Amino acid sequence: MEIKFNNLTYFRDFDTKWEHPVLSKISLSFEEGKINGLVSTEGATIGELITLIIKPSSGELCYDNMCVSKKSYVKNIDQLRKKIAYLPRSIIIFEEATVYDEIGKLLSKIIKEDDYEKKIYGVMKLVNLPEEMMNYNPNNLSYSNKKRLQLALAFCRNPQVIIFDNYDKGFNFRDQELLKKVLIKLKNKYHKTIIYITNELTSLINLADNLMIIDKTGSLIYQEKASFFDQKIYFSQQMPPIVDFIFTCRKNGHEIPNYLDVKEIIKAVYRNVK
Amino acid sequence: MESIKLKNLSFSYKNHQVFNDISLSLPCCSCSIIGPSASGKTTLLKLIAGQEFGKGNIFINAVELNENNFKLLRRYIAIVFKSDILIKERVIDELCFPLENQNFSSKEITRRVTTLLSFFDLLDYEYRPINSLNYSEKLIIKILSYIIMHPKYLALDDVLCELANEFKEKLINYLKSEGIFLINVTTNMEELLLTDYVVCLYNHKIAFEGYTKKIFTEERIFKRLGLNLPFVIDLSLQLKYYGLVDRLYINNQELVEAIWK
Repeated sequence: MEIKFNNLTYFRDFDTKWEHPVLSKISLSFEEGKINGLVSTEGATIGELITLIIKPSSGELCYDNMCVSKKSYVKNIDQLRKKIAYLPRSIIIFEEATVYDEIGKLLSKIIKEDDYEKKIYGVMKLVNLPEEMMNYNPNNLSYSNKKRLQLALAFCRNPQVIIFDNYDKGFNFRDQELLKKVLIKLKNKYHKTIIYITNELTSLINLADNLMIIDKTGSLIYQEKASFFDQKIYFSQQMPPIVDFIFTCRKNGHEIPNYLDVKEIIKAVYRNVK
Repeated sequence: MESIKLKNLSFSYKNHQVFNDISLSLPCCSCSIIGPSASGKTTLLKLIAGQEFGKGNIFINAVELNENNFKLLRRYIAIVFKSDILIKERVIDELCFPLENQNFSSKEITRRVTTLLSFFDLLDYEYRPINSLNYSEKLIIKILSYIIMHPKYLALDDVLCELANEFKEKLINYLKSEGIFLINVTTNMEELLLTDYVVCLYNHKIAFEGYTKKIFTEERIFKRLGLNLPFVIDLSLQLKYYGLVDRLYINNQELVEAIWK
């Protein structure tokens, strides 16, 4: 499913003294079957807009052929929401006593057969949640394992679009690498549309196909295919350390090619010095 | 001088053991607590905050923490968790609330609020309703409502990565100028360069501790525990292996100048 914003504006605290635009006159498209990286501080608002919990103040929001504006009425809104999964920034509170029950309860509603046990193991393996955790209370898990469980619950519904809102915050280096593998698998094998919202560029390196940047005032600054060596990006954003190193080399008059891998950079430096 | 001290501490959630007989004394400087996922970083802060009680002793300013006095001792250590929520209606109410609780005069309250907000360029936010803020702005207000009490330590549970970059720099500057020490629980290794001391938790115990600059020379331990190093340190270590530089650098500019002498 392709999602488009057509000249979309959203005001927070509309008709009050504190009214201010969170998104102003934005036109962009999240392409189908690709990882769309979006740099913005308003991830929650964008997530609520796409799942139609709130409607745009002006402009249109389009899903394939159907367009939604401020006054339009949406038929079968449940059908639409089932196709979209939104993973929020904060952790949700889990209801069941064990991890097994938590996933099993949701799967039993979707799959009518009794043999959903295999699927529980399959889902847990996909998100790298260890099998020993099966009988733990989900509310006592660690932060990163709670987030993995949240992702597993999202997969159970088999959505077409998945929105990650600052999902990798609190993940260490290994967890981030594993998450990247899962995302690339989702893109290549299952052709899901992924919207990856973050507030820093470092987590999008070696991941995003398209890159969009929305600044503090809510206007779209950049929308192109992801290339991290474009000077235009860094007017409002902090440089990832790897890009910062290459730019400081060039400032001092040493030419190093555009590499995003440490080992390649070391080889290039070695060749340049010797 | 030691201000936070743990002695023979053990703790477990029902059948899952988190700490097994650990002892630790943090020196009087800013420090980071690191470790792989599920190694008990947040639990350690919860124990210090008095939200959970385990076997063993915890001393804060040489006073033992127990169920009766933990609220008083929390004036020395302000702890901000990710799941904290704001309770008041407007930003100014949120900032005044902790001071009003401690019977400060209204003159002192207004002085502290205006100086703090003007330092962080947030004077427009004074009368804004909490509902109109986004996630990171809410966290900022939460941190400010703790800082306003002038604690000795500010402990952050993986909160720094959620903040905007400008605010992060201002916060570090403010803490240095006021003499407040930072205890930063983190998974982002770039943040290690902000603090002087590092404690690493692994497998129910403390794997290593020490001053930041000394610890980076033992990069093998980091790799064995599945942790990465800050990018500049990692790069200069590998360049040192190839004989291009002779020591570790924590700044890109210095590193570039050292490579091409």
